Amino acid sequence: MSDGKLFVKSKSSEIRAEIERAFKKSKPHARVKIILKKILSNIMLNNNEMCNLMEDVIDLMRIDDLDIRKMCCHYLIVFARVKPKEAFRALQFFNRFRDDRNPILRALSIKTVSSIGVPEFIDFSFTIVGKLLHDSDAYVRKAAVFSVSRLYQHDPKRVINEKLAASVGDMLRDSNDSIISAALACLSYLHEHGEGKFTLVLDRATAFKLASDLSKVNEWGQAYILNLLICFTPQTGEDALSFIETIIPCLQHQNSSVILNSIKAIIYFGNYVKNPELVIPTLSKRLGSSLVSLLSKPPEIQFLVLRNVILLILSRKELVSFDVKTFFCNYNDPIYIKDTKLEIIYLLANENNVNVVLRELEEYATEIDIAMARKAIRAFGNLAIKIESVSDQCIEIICDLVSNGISYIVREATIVMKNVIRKYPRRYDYVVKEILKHHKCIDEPDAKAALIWLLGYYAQRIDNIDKIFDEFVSNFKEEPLEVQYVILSSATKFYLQVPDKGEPLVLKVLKWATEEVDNPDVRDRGFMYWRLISHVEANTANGEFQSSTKKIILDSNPIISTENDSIDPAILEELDLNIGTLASIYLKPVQTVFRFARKKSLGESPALQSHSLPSTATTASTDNFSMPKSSSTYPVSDYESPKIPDDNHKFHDHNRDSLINDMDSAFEKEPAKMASTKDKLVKKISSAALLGRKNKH
Amino acid sequence: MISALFIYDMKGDVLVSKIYKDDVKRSMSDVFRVHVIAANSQRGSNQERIKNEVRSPVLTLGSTSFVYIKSGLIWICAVTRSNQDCSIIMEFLFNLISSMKVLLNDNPSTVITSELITNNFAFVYELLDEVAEFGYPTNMEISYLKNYLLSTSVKDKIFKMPTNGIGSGGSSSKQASKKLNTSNITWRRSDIKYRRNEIFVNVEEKVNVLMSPQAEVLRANVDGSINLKTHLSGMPECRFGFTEDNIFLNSMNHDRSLVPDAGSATLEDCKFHQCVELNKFDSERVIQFIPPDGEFQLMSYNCISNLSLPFKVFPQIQEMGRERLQYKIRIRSLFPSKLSASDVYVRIPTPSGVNKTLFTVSAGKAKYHSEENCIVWKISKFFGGKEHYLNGEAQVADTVADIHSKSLMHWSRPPINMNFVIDMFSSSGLTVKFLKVSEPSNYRTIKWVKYSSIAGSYEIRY
Repeated sequence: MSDGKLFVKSKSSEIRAEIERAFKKSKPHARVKIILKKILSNIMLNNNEMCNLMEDVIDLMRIDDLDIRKMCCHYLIVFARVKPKEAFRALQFFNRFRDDRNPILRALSIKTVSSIGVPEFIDFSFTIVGKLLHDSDAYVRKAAVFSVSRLYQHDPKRVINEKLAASVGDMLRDSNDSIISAALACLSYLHEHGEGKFTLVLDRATAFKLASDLSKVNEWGQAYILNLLICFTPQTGEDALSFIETIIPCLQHQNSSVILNSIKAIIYFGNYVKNPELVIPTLSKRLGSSLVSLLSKPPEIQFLVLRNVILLILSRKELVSFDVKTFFCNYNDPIYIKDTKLEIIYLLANENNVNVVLRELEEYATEIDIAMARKAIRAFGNLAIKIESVSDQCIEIICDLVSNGISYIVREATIVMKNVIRKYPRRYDYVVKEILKHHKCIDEPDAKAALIWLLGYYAQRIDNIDKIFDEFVSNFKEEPLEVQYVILSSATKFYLQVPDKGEPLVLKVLKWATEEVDNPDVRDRGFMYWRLISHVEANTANGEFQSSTKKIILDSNPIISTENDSIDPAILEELDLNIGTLASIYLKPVQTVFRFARKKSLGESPALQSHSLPSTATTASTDNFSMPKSSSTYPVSDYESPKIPDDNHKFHDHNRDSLINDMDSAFEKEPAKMASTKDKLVKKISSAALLGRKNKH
Repeated sequence: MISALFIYDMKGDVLVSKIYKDDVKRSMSDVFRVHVIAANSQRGSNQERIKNEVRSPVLTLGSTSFVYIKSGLIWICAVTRSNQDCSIIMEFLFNLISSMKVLLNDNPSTVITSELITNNFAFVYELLDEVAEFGYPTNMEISYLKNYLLSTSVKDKIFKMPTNGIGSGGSSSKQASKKLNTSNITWRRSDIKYRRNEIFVNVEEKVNVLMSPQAEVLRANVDGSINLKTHLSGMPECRFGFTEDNIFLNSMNHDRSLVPDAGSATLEDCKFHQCVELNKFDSERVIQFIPPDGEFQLMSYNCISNLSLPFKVFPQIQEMGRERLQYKIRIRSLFPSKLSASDVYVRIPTPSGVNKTLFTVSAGKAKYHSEENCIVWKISKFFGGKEHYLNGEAQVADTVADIHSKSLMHWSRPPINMNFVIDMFSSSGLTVKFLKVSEPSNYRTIKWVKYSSIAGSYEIRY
């Protein structure tokens, strides 16, 4: 029979009448079941009026039928909190069930009462859970173990005081493997939400016991074990090594969560072994290939795996080996996969494989998918900066693409070229000339800002530049802030280099900025430039034109490098302990994304190896990765549970601040800052300070 | 782990909801509907649609995250708070979908519709209650679920259990003990009996290829899987092995110089079902297991070297002026001539706005599908060692000359795509050498082995 027709909204009065009618018939059970299903469907349909049936449903629990009792329990769990007074009456049934001969009923009783967050029910669960934890039937013990975690939500103190956590810990030695899994799940929940009250520390014997259980428990149990093993701090390198060796076979599992958790555990224990990659030479190959083989899973899992690949490339290059070709995009990959693969391709590119990479990227750049094409061009630019030997090749490809005059390609190329030129000043003038041919299709703020910066930079070297400049300046008042800043600085630079042509222009711009723009920042900046060029000491004593001002404004830019690739090692260290979790998708410090997540760290031990990761990751880069670039506020507080009223109202979108984007955003900001403010006593805010501030709010 | 789980239909109406933990309210379902389903179903111009494409399978708002997948005609979304293990959640969702397919319709390739869910909502709810406790996945092995949910559900017509008759779902303790699997092998009951003991081995390989216009292979790999169907009595212990020259590369000291002989398979990596004893495999290279009853995937593997690709395609697609495209496509089959590929479909893309096509083919049929903008060339039987060609022309409509000339220029040239099935052919060269079943009662087992290669994403650039 089909339940579809039961899936409609009903009224509680109708249902009550139906129950009465059912009991007039000789065999009411089948009818009662149908009625209860109706109630269940109304719960799904969010029909809260069903709570009026509390008394009627509790009455039904007297019927000796497991299905009926189960459904009554579902009902109670949903509505008991709304009508606590009426619900108390159900306790008498549970009091009977807990000693019933049928283990299912015993399990049902503890499962139900512990799920109801009403003090009387919680009290009752505390009185019965201890006994049921030692029930003879495994199914009941399992239900009791999970009930301990439920009770912990409501009354963590009492769970600790009544030593329930300790008894669950004892169950790690239970003879039944499913109980071990349940106990592990419970302990990891308690540990995650311990908040100082409960911290799980595994001793050596337990850890070894768990590791040997790996081959016995089912897939989920394996994942829980592997996850909990990082609560054990090995004291010697040999111990750590033997754990790695025990875990390695798990890399062969079908379940991706087992694999990711194994990798997490292996990386963790790797911290306590001296040069694990030398001790187990196949390790990097095995880790790499087991991750790559997960790419045959559905795209959602692929995505998670790829994000973790990025993490591992950044943090443990020596422990994982990949072939860049395996990350080439498929035509049908969803956009989020393509994005992530592009980042990986960029990170894996080196002198040896760069030719293959460039050929592949060129294929993407000519694709019709605009977002993809733009990202490919960005990748060219970033590669040019990263690997000097191929920069010529990259730039030629970019130039080639620009010459087709396709608007979005020109825009992207402009942005990219600005960075390239900062790295290799005066090397690729021909590309700038090519871009200027197509300057008409540049209309987005980012690209515009980049082009205007280039104009200021190239003022002396390209003829007729004043006409193009004029075009871009004419809309000054309507431009967004970032473009206005660039116009100001570039116009000044232009004037300093080509005074006769630049003078009318700079005067026009400064006049607008100081007299007609409402934004005080733009106005102040306008005044600043104005003073700089009109100061009495602008021309030095020997009459050289504006030489002091030139010294300030036309100073050479600091050279950019790709050190921005790396994240702060401390952040990476914590992310490594969170492989496979949500935080690994965002690649940001765990606490900035999830404020209430428990902090994980490597336990102190004589075997702990200190990593010689470059601690000088550029300051700019740390905040690239750690702060969501675009944080639009959403009214999330309504959905938060009342206990935690205030939260980090941020919309985390990994795509918007992905790696390649990020590198760029750092570059974009810099030139403007450099050119206009570097020497003007505006202190650069150190990123550490920035980071701290963001974390607090 | 998982705080709540919601199943939606395509419009965003909740079909089933299950709250595992108290930290999420039922009304959370609206948040997901607004942020993902509604945003996803807005179909505007092409440009907008691209923007609304699913951008990430995970959405985090505040410290609440939504992990979701779309399957068939439903959305399944797991809600979770704080930083949880995303890999467990995703595996759980995919496992859930495949168990629903089998349990609701007894067919792993069912498309799950909202009707299928509403028609069995009580059963689905029961399933959700059983597969996870307090949001932690516990046991999702199909045979266990079938066994457990059998007596409590009304779906008894689906399940044909080999042994006992099915009770009425009463609460007798005799039945209860049957349901509760307390043995340590969670995926198998000990009391299974068959009159005829059989085991079916199905080696299925998906060939993924990307070829350049010159028919050189840019990228190729094989995603293989070995599926077993077991009808075996008792607690049989199976041992499974390949021919000597099938090498598991990752186990060797990564010495790539040791190139295996041609004709042998090299498995990059393999993944096993939970019943396989992994440490035994690691130390002795033997695949040993006690199988669950019925169908399951024993292992999956991945190959990249030494592949024998079944087809090579030589495309020539030229623009003749602004309105015409000329197609010359040759396909050569490279597998042994006694085998044949069936259901060969070649999808050859065209620009939009084609109004006239003319094709000649050496075998099969070619038809232009305007709604998909492609020519579908179908060859129902393609023998090995043969070559077939398609010649033809497509003309873009005159009336929209100014637009289409652009459309030809801006044509994205998606790759040519192939589909096929070849029985008894393994692209990787993998062959099963032995399969031993040992059981105390020492019965005879009939074994069947089948190989097939199908096209995964078989793409050719031009």
